[in-house]
Amino acid sequence: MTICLRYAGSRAEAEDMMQEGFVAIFKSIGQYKYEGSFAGWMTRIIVNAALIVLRKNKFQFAEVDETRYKYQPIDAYAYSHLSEDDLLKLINALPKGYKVVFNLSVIEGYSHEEIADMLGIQPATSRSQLVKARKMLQQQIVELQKIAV
Amino acid sequence: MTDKLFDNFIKERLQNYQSPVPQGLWEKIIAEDERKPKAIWWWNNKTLGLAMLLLLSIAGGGYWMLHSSEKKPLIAGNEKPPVNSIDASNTMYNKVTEQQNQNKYSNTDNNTSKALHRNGNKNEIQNLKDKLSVSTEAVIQKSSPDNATETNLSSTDKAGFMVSGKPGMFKANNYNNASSHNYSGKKTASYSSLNLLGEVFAENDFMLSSNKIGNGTTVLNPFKLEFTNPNVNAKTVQPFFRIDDCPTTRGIFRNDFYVEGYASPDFAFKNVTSTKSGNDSYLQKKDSSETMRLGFTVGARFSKSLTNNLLLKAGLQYSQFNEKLTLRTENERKLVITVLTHYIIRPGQPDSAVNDTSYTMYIGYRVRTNINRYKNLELPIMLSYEMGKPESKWKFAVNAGAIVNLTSWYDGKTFDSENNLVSVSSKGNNGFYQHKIGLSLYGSISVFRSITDEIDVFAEPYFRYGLSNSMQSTGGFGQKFNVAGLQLGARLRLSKNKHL
Repeated sequence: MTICLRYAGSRAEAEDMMQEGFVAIFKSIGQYKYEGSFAGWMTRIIVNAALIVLRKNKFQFAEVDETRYKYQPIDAYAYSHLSEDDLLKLINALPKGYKVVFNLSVIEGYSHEEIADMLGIQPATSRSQLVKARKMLQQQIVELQKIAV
Repeated sequence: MTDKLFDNFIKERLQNYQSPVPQGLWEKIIAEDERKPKAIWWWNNKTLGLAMLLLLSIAGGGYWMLHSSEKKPLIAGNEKPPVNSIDASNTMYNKVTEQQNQNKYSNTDNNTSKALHRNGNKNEIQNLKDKLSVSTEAVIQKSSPDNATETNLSSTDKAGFMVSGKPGMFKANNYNNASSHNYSGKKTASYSSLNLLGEVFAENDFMLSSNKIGNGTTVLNPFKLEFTNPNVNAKTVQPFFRIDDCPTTRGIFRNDFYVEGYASPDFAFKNVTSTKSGNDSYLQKKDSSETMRLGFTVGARFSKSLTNNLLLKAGLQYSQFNEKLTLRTENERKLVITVLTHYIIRPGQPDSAVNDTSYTMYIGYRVRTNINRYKNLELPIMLSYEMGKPESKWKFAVNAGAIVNLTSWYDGKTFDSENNLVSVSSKGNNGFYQHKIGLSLYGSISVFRSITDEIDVFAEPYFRYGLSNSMQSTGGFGQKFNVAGLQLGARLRLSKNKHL
């Protein structure tokens, strides 16, 4: 469910993704060849289902006005007070294109070429979306830190 | 912290983090998994399903026509055949017994040829005529088997007849056609010319079977046909009528079946009318903001000749009308107040200041543009009247018909009464655009140029007039599209003319 929540814009969309994903798992379970972990195989299918749902809902890689997100280097202690739920919320607050690339690259561990192939974009777009997503996420963490202080 | 560390931190925290699954989701998943696979999307769409059925029927008909014309059996001479027979309805087997003294026999050469007149049994024949499916048995009592070698059967009976038998139903010529009912001796008869399902068979292709009845009389049963030509058998008898194979005096008739592919640049004209009062200014703004752009149509259709000049065409096409929205809205107003102060300096007197104030209002406009796309899947049906000699390289046609909209969808933006840009898509067009636009009338002129015997290319300028409104009633205005375009394409002839 966490995987779906990371990609979805809402809980309802995440449920859709999970439903699609598990139906796909049931349908293609015969194709699992006992190579690699079963959890990893399931994750890949769920991620693919999530991307299909996102594509159905026509998400775009929009350019976002970044002037309000000033980049500041942050210290490690800034993260310490953040729970997983907080992180999830921060990631969800990213623009959809940023969020998808960030998830695929940082958490799922796909290369930019693979991401480009999956999303039908250029690898350079994937790289730039990741950099911007990271920058925006760090900025949001800094803002949270200020509020906490 | 470097990007790498940051990424690792996020990954570690979230990779194995588990969120609770909402209640009831597993039930939904199981229900979804057990649900039968969805039928093809158009299967649920009745109009589209019917359209596909129509297309398949036309394609199937064309295929059948093509193959039935190509595989017409060649009729060759009299070989000793394996006998195939089609037995007529035995259950309706009426005897027409004629006495020898009522028959007229005519002799030809050294043979004893006998003409059998059936006038004496008109009442019975009339009874037979009343039945669509009837079997008749002619009885010939031969006085001398040795000299009765050829007999001509003639009849004044005007009744045509149908013969029911396996594998299907077939049609024979009128029974009274004396010339087509020669039958030879040896207790059998041969038809010199019997048009069976439109096929002209050669003499002795099949025989009438004969039966012996109790008193030694030989009975010829014209409805039990025994094929003597191996090329003509029950399998070659097609189980359908071929309405286009009627003989004509022209010697040739058109039996063309084409498949046509085409593409067209289109220009659509939008006609917007108000359906409620008070929205004139909005429609005026809409009219000035939206301009139609070049669209296109691509499609394929089947074309079947009904007569030498008339063709019926039906197919499937995709058309897209493009529209550019240029919305110019007031973005900001800037009031600039300029105060110009003049100091007047006079010697020995205090300075005096004069203020000159002016106001300037700057209005900034924001221009937003978008390309809107109206997409349609349609079924064109039309009649075409074609002119030009068959051997001519150039042919012309006039076409008229209707275009039935099967489904429409929209992708673009419009603006509301407060000039806010609103995205409208086929998914989100709640109460805005219709998904089925309805009918358009279609008229065109075609020019064909033969490339080979089978392939023609054509150009077809056309105009289509939209009859139906593309807006839903809640929209406050009506919107129809008229389209002009030039179809360019090629047609491939799948069947050939029939020579009689």
